Amino acid sequence: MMPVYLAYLFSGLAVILALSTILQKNPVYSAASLIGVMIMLACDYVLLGADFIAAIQIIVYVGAIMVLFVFVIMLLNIEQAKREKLFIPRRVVGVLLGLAIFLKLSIVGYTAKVMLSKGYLKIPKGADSTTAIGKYLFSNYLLPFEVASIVLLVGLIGAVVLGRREAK
Amino acid sequence: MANIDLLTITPDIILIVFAFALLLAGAFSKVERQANFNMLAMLGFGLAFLVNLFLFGAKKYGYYNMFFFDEVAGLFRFVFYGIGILVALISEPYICGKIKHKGEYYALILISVAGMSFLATAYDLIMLVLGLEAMSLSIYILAGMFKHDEKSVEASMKYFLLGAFSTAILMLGIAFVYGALGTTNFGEVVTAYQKNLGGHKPELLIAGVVLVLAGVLFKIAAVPFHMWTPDVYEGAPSSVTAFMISGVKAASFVMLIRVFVLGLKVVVFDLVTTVMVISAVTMTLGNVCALVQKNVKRMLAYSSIAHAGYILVGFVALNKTSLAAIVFYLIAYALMNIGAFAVLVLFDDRGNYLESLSGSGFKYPFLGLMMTIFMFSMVGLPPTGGFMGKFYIFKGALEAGYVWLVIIAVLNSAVSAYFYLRVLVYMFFEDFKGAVAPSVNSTPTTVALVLTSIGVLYLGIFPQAFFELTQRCMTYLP
Amino acid sequence: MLDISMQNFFILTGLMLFSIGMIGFLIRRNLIICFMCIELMLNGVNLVFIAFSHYLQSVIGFMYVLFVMAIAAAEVSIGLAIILMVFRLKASVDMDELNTMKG
Repeated sequence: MMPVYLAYLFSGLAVILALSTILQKNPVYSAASLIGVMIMLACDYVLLGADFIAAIQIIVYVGAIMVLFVFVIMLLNIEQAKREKLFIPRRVVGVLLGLAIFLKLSIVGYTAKVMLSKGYLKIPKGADSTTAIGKYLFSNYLLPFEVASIVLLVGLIGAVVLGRREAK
Repeated sequence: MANIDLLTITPDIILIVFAFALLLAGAFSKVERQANFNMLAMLGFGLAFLVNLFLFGAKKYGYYNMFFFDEVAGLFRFVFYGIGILVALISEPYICGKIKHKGEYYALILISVAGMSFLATAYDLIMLVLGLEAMSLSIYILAGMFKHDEKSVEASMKYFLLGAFSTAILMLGIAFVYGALGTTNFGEVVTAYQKNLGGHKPELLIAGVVLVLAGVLFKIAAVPFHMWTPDVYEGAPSSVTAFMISGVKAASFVMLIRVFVLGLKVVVFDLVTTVMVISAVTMTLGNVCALVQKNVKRMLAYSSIAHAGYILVGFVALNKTSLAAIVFYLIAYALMNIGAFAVLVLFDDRGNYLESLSGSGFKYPFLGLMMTIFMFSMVGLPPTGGFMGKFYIFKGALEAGYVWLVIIAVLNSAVSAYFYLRVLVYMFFEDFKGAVAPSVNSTPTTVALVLTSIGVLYLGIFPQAFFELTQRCMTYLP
Repeated sequence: MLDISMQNFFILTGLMLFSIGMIGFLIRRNLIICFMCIELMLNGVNLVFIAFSHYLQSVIGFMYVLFVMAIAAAEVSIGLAIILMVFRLKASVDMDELNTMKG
C-alpha cells in the first residue's frame, strides 16, 4: 500500500503548493510554489509509470520554463507588484465561477469510469513507457513532432522580435 | 499504413521554406533592400496555391492517419493562401518604417498560414492543437509588432493571456475525450465509441466535448468568449487585424467543421440548442455594441462578432447547403474585411475615426467607391458577396426549419445597416476636413483593393458556379 | 502499479490544480502571476492525461503531455517577452493598467 500513501502525500502537497501559488503576494514566492507543484507532479508521474515524462517535467518545466519566469521576475520591479490587494469584492464572481466549474468537473471526473486497458496505441505488456514513447514518437506521431518544431520556432522568433530593445 | 506522404503537405513545406528564407534575408540584408519582402512572401503563397490546385480533389490519408486531405481541406487551403496573398499585398506600405523586423513579420504570416493549413487537414486532435498553436502564437507576436504603440502591446498581451487560457480549457476537453474514448484520432472514434463504450455517452465524454467547443468558440469570438475581440482588433496593427479578422475566423470555423462534423460526429450529443442560443446572442450583442462605436476598426471588430453569429447559424442548421454556405460566407467575409482594412491601411491609420473620414469619399473617389462596395457587402445588400452569403446561410437554416433564428438574423442585418452605412454617410455627406490622405506608395494595396472588390462583386453577381463548387466539396454530410 | 481505485483520485487532483489555476487567473491582477496560473492549469491537464494514459494502458496521453510541454515552452518565451514589452511601456505589470481602449 506504500504507493497509495505516497500518492496522497504528493498530491496533497501539490494542491497546497498550488494554493500558495495563487495566494502569494510576491511573485517570487509564487514561482517557488509553482516549482514545488511541478516537482510533486513529477513524483506522481513516477507512481503512474511515466518515468520519462517525470524526468522531462523536471528538466523542461522546472529547469527551463520556471527558471525563465524567475529570471523575468527578477528583471522587473517586484516592489510595486507587492502592493496588489488580494481581495477585491468584484473578483468574488471569479472565485464563485471557478468553484462552480470545479464542482461540476470534479463530479464528472470522480464518477468517470475509465475502461481499463482499452486505449489505442497500447503500451506493450512488460515494456516500459519510455520505449513505447520512443517508438510512437517517431512513427505515429511523426507529423505532430515536426509541427511542434514549427511551434518552437515561433517561440524563438517571438522572443527575438518582442524581447529586443529598440530605439524609437 | 505509414504513408509518409510528402506530396500532400508540400504547400505547407513551401510556406515554411519561404518563412526560413525571409528570416535569413531579414537578418542579412539592409533595411533599404527589404522593400520587396512582400513579393517573396507572395511568391511563397502563390506557389503553395498552385501546388494545392494540383492536389485539389484527391482524398488522402497520411502519416499514420494523423492527416487527412480531402476536398474541404483543399478548399480551405485555397482560402488561407488567398488571404495570405492579400495580406502580404496590403502590408508593405503600411508597415514600412514602422516595423524593423520585416523579415520576421512576413515569416510569421507564412508560418501562421501554414498552421491554419495544418488545422484544415488535421485528422487527430493533437494535430488540431499544434496547428492552432502555430497559428495563434504567430498572431500574438504579430499583434504586438508595433512595440512603441501602447495599444498594440496591450492587444498582444490581452490576446495572449486569454488565448493561453482558452488553450488550457481546450486541452482539458481533449483529455476528457481521450479518457472516455481511449483515442483522439478521428478515424478511430467511431469504432472506439461502439466497441469501448457500447454506444453510451458517459458524462466524461459530454464534458469533454463541451470544453472543446468552448475552446473553439473562443477563437471564433462567440459571445461568452468574445471579451478580447474589440480590444485586440482595435489595438493590433491594421494589416494584422485584417489577417486575424479573416484568417483566424476561417481557421476557427474549419476547426469547428473538422471536429464536430467530421471527427466526433458520432459522439456529439444534442449541442444544437446551445449553439443556437449562442449564435442568436452573438449576433445581437455584436450589432448592438457596434452601433455606438466611433472608431471604424473597433466597429469592424464588433461587426466581426456579429458575423460570427451569422455563420454559426449555418452550423446550427447543419445540412449540406448550410455547410457549403459557411465556406461561401467565410470567403465573402474575408474579401470584404480585407478590402475595408485595405482602405484604412491606405489612410495609414489616420482615418480610423469616423470624423476623420469626413468627406474623403468625394475627395478620393476610388477609395469611396471601394468602401461603398465593402460596406454594402457587410450589410448584406445585393449585388455583393455578403448578400449571397447571408442568402445561402438563411436558405440552409430555413431548409432545416430554424425560422426563428433566421428572423432574428434578418432583424440583426437590418440593424447593422445603420452603423455600416454611417461610415458612408461620413465619407460622402460631410465636408472634407483634410484629416486624411492616402499614403504615397500604394500600388500593391490598390491591387489588393481591386482584387477584393472584384471578388466581392463576382460572388454577388455570379454566385451559382462557386456555390455549387463549395457544395460539391462538402462531402461530410449527405 | 496503482490499482484502479486510485484513478479518480489522480483525476480529481488534476482537476483541483486546474481549477485553482483558473481561480487564480480570474482573481489576480499581476500579469506574471496570471501567466503562472495558466501554467498551473496546463499542469493539472497533464496529470489528467497521464492518469488516463496509465489506466488505459495507451501511450496517447503521454504524447499529449510531451506536446503540451513543447507548446508551453513556446508560449512562455512569447508571453514573457510580451510582459517585458508591457513593463517597458508602462513600468508596471498590473492588468488594470491595460486600459487604453474602452467602449
